[in-house]
Amino acid sequence: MSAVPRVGARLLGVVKRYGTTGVLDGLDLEVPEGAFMVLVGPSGCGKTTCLRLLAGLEHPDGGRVEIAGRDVSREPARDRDVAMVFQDFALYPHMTVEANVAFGLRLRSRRRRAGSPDAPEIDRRVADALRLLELDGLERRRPAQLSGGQRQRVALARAIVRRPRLFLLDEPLSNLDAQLRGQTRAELVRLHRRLSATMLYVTHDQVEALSMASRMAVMDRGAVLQVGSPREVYERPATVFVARFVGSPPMNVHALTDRPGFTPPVGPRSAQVGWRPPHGQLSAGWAAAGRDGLRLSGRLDTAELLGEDLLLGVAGPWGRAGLLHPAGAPHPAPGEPVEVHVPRDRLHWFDDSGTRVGHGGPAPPPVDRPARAGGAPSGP
Amino acid sequence: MTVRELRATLSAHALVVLVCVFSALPVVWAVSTSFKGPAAIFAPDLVPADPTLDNYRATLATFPVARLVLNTGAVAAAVAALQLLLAVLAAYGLVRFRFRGGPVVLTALAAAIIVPQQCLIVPNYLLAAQMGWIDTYVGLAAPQLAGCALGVLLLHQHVRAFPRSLLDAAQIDGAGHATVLWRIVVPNLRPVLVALAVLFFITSWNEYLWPLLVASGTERATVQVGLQAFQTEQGNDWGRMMAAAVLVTAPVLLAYGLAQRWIVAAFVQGTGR
Amino acid sequence: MTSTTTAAPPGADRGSGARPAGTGAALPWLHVAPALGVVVLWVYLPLLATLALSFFRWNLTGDERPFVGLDNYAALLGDPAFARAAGNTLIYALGLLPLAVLLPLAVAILVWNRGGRLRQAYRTILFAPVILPPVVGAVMWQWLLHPLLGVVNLALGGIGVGPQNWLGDRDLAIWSVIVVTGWKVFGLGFLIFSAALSGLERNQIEAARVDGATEGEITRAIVLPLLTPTILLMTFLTVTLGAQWAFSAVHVLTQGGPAGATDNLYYLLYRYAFGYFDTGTASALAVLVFAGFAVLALAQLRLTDRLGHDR
Repeated sequence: MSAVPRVGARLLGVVKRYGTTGVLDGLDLEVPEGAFMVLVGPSGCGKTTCLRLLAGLEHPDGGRVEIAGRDVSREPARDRDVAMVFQDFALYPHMTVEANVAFGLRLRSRRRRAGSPDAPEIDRRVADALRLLELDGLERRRPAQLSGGQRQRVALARAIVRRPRLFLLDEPLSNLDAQLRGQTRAELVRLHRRLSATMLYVTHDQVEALSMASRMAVMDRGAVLQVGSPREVYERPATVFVARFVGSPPMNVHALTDRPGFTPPVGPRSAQVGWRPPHGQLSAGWAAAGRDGLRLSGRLDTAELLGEDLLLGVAGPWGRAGLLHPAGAPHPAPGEPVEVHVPRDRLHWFDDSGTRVGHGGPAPPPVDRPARAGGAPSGP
Repeated sequence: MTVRELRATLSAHALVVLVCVFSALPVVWAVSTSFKGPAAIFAPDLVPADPTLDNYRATLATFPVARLVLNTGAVAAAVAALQLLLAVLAAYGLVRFRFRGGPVVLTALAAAIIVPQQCLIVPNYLLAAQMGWIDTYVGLAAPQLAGCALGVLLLHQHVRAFPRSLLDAAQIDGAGHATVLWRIVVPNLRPVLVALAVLFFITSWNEYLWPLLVASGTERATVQVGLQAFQTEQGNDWGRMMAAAVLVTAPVLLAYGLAQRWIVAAFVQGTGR
Repeated sequence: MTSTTTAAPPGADRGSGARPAGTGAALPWLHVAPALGVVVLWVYLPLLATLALSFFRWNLTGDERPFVGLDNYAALLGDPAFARAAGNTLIYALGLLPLAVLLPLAVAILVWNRGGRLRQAYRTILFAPVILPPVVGAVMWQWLLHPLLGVVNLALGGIGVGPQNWLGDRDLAIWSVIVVTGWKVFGLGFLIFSAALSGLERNQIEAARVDGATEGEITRAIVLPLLTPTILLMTFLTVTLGAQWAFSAVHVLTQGGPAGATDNLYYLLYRYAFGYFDTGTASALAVLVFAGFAVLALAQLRLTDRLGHDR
């Protein structure tokens, strides 16, 4: 990745209120040109509002919206040269597939915008888009006569045919069944590579974010908590929220406590400690790790089969935790006492407010450089 | 089917048929009478013993059927089309733009629906007279346009339930408000709009009090006003009266017969949910 | 559509915030203005004009138009025709209920339940009177009810009942007009109930049938309660509008006679205005009718609201 990527789209100090409730309060977000950026967060966090602000479907109460370096804060959607794929696909029910895809181009050419394509050019581009998405042969169908996956591809075709500066995708996979969703994820990434376009993809599903994004941003309650590559976000979550939201099963985070059964590592430490379920080991590892790390003792509460692994739920006076354990390996029965050990270099440290202060040990780095934190080698 | 059920079904059909007879009798009897000569008119036969076309010949000579039907139909069509246009624009405007005053406008339109027409005829007549609209098509149609308020109210519900993402998608595709309204919203509300158009047309077609006041001359008279004038002239010639009634009814019933499935369905489905 | 070619102001969309200063504040008004305009011009201004006219004595065309204060109202309240018309208005409202609500409800349920293949044919016949111009229907009924030659009296004679003067008899006339009006509006009620029935969930009814309920029990326990809002609506419309629906029939069949027996407030208003050309009194009556009507409509709306919510 180049050092200073060009900016495809940007929100600068954007404020957005509905009535008296603020949704966004001075939010900054940059989408590098050519990126497949995924904006992920729980429902109601403001991610869709960001998308709509960039689309021109909403207008900010403060701050600026820029696309390709131009301030478009006051421009209506139709002047912004963006395309959007909607959660429910939003295909026009009364038009054929071909008319749906061509609608935007035809409107533009009717208005005789500079550089707008003429009729044969439109037909050619529509045909190209339909072929690219394997929709040829369905031109005369109406949306009601298509399967869910076909509708989704028509929605994509409608977006790409316009060759916009910016693609906005609003949870486009959430209306597909699980199997189709998996396939389409890969297709979308391929499509992005092929078009080398700038895309902003909004979802509440962190799996989609990790698997598709070239760059991802995690939002909660109207604020961007962390921006980075999926790997960075997964391995060095900036806050407890990000740590728990990204990754499945979620990270275990404990406040340091004196309760019985909770033994934190010696040496520097901060208010909260977290670890990912694959990194916990049942008691055997304790001695081997030189007694350095986090030790939890409690009882085995649940055991869920995830396929290769079991997710073991451990409960103690200090709280609960989940760890992965090979499904074939022996493990205690529910109700029996267990000890969990997490090596020091697998630990994530957070302060009282939930902000990351470091990774592993032995010395937590200075608080003011959380993103590059951690002297120990990062995880797998 | 058990005997009891069969009996219940039969008695149900019997009652419904009885009501159908009640509904159809006036028209059926009018048709029957219109084919009877002066002597047979006293006979209570449903099928005339000696059918004649004399009544029709005599009626057509003095009664401008075509003119009346065309007047009424043209005015009703124009009124229905304009009311639909006004209602679509207003309903879209009220839903799509949240503006101060919108709720007040909606309330004002809703309240106007229940004002009895009779309470307004004097000033409306004065206004129409002042504009020189007495005995004109414009005068006949203009006040009826206020009936669009009902359409605004009905359409408001449907426009509000219109999927927001479709409107957004159209905007992103580069559509302005006009394009969104006419190329996205209207085509998708077609069943409702058809039902509303039928309702508007029938209402205007059946309008009586206002045409009675402003279209009493034969040139602009509507079916009802014309028939009433004919009745006053003809006095007691019931054969001719019924012939006239059948003549003005025939186009309506014909249109209804052709489109009845559609009209009834528009009502049953358009207002059912 | 002058409004439609102007650029869309981005801020004017619903749900969006700051509106760019000076652009498109007029756009929403351009959309609602035509509808609002005709309603103001032909409903609200006339309503105010009526109120104003009610304080003057005038004959619709003359130059003299003296202010008379409340004299028109006093004259009206002293006119026995007013009291009679008011009483008759009530009779119309309530007398129409069986033909406009009860019978349509019963027939709609029967057709829905047991209509079978004839359902569409029944609907076509039963709705036909609604689309027939009222005067045409009234003229046809006039012939049916003719005291000497009418087929109704002929048929009654066949079973030994003497001829009745349906439209000329003081006691009978109003009921004859109600039947003629009811014949016209029956189809409307029937269709509205049919629409409501076709919107019912079949599941509940089928569940009850599986539970062993008879058709009568299903109608009473499930269908009628589910139809309550529609029944209340039709009752509301009939009580509020019944006397207005009768206007054409009254005008064609009796002109309010004999001796005011079929008069009602709306017809009296018409006669004052365009029979006697007594514009002032007609306007005073219009004001009273509108006030009474508004009170009645509001009271009913509140009542139906409450009844509807209880269900």
